[in-house]
Amino acid sequence: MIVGPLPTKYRLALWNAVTILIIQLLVSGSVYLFMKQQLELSFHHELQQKYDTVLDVIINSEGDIFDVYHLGQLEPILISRNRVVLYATEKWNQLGLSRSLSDDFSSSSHDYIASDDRNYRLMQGWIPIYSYHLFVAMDTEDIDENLHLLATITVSVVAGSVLVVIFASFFLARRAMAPVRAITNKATTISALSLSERIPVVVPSDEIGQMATVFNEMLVRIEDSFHKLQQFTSDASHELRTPLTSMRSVGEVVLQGEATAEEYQNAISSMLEEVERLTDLTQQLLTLARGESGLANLQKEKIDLSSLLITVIDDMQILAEEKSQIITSSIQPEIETDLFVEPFRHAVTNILHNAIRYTPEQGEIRVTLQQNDSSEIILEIEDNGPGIPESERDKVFERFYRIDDARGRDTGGYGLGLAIAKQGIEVNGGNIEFVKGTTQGTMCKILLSQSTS
Amino acid sequence: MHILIVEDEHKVAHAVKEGLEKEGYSVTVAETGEDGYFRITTETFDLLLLDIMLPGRSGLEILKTLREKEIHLPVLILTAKDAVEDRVAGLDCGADDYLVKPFAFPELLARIRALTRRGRPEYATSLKVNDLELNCVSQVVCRTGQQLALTRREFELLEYLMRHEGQVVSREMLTRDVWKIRDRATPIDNVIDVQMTRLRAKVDTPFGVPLLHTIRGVGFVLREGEE
Repeated sequence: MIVGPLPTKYRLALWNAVTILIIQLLVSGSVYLFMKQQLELSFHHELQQKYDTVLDVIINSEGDIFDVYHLGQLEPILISRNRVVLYATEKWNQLGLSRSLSDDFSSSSHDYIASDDRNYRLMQGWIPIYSYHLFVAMDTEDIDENLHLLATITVSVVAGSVLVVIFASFFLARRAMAPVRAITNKATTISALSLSERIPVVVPSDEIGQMATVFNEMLVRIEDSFHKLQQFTSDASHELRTPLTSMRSVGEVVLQGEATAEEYQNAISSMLEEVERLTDLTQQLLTLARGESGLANLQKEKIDLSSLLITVIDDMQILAEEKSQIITSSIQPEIETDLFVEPFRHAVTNILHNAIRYTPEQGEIRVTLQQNDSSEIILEIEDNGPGIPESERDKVFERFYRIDDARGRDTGGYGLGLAIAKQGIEVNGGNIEFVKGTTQGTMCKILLSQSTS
Repeated sequence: MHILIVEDEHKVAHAVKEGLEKEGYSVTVAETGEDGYFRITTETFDLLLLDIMLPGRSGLEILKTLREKEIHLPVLILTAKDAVEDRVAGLDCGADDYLVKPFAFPELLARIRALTRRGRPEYATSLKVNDLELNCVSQVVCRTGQQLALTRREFELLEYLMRHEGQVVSREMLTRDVWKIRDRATPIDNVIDVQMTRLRAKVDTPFGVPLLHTIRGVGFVLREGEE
């Protein structure tokens, strides 16, 4: 059965009704057939009894038909010999049953409509001793009436119950669907302003409960990312506003009155510095926003990771020297892999820069690169600085996140470096995390699985 | 040298015009694509600075039409769009170079010079500014005849500055050309500043007369004399 795009509750009701209907038909059909058979059997039995009575009388009276007369005229009985009627009861004649007999006074069939419009069944037999043909008929109307009644009752019960089933299953379907409707209603009311609302879970273990739970988990994630986005937007505007504010005040102040050429020059230079800051910031934001989509047209390149790392360390070395820090490196040579080079280089540069920035003077930074037996490339950058508290180790990768809320330029940055680093590693299919260093301090662990592409 | 700027942002167009005029170029500004195209076809220019996002006719369309008409005017695209595909689209349409807004003015100048220089090979192996001498082959740097011990990076930096003598060089140019990093958002600026301080300590400090100058908010320049 194909049910078109009906609403689920109607479909459920229909399926229920059809199933019940089929069961009902099977049951009542069997009952009907069984009853019919039973009635037929008992009718046949009765007819046989009547026939046997007449036969007994004929046999007992040694063929004297008059004894049959004593059986009365109410039953339709006929006795013939050689196509000549020897005896027929009044009832037989009255019903005109002779018409139903063929010329040779035999009948193959059993049922006849008599002149009273009732149906009669004929039982016939041949009594060889007297060459009698005996016919006994009996009104079948009783079983017909009974069967008719049974059929009527069955049909009405089936019809009635189907109606009841349709309504009941519709009702049941509605009830079964009610939690779904409740979820739908709730979900429609949840908006950006009410993301903290949750769908009620009545029975957590059933399908609906599971669905609601999954919905709720999704809501948690949406709420979470929504909050992060809000936080990001507010952080970003703060960071963008700071240089704008300083540009504005510098400009306004220098134009307030007469100023010397040197003052103008200073003001403009200071404004240009802020412009540089803004450019830098928007560039970093763009890098982040672009993420993977920015790599759509880029191909991974096969590069010597070991030399790349040496170059990066070389570039950053000078910053470490400024703080009298030592960068020691243990780099397994000639590790080759396919990478989006710029994001990776950027990531490593940022991590290293971070290590230099947060490690005090005279500190030590250790860089280790090696490839293990399962071709995984492990890059560790460890410092002996103050370390990152365990609770902060994931958060430091969030945009604009800074452990100390010092937003001073001296330690620099906008708190985007590590977010960019994480992205740069992840677009390369790698993993980056901070773990506890072997001594104190922090160890940044980068894991790349060999050329998965 | 006559330059046409097609740029709808009035302030940008006129700031660039003024800056270029100070450098001795003669400059015309067209603020719409139509006007720009009309001027290109009726006047003679040596270089076109073309914005991509213009009202009406886009910069790329103009560029395409120019190239179809076989007008081989050097074109430098200026645009805020810096995704790789945008750059590729621009260069594919026949642009000679590409500069992303906001750009550093010294870099614009450097690129204009590069585009208008065209086939004038000037890779001297020996450079000299005042009493500072640099030999690219022997990798020796001397000032007042006294040899200076420079690291490889310091040497590269000094060579780049000497090749751009008298021209302001931005940190972006140094990042790209000396440190060879394509990505602009790296913390390499700090490295550049430190490197510059060290170079100055070797090249200028012992000799009293500074050649390396910082132009605050813009970049660096190597030249004789004060400021």
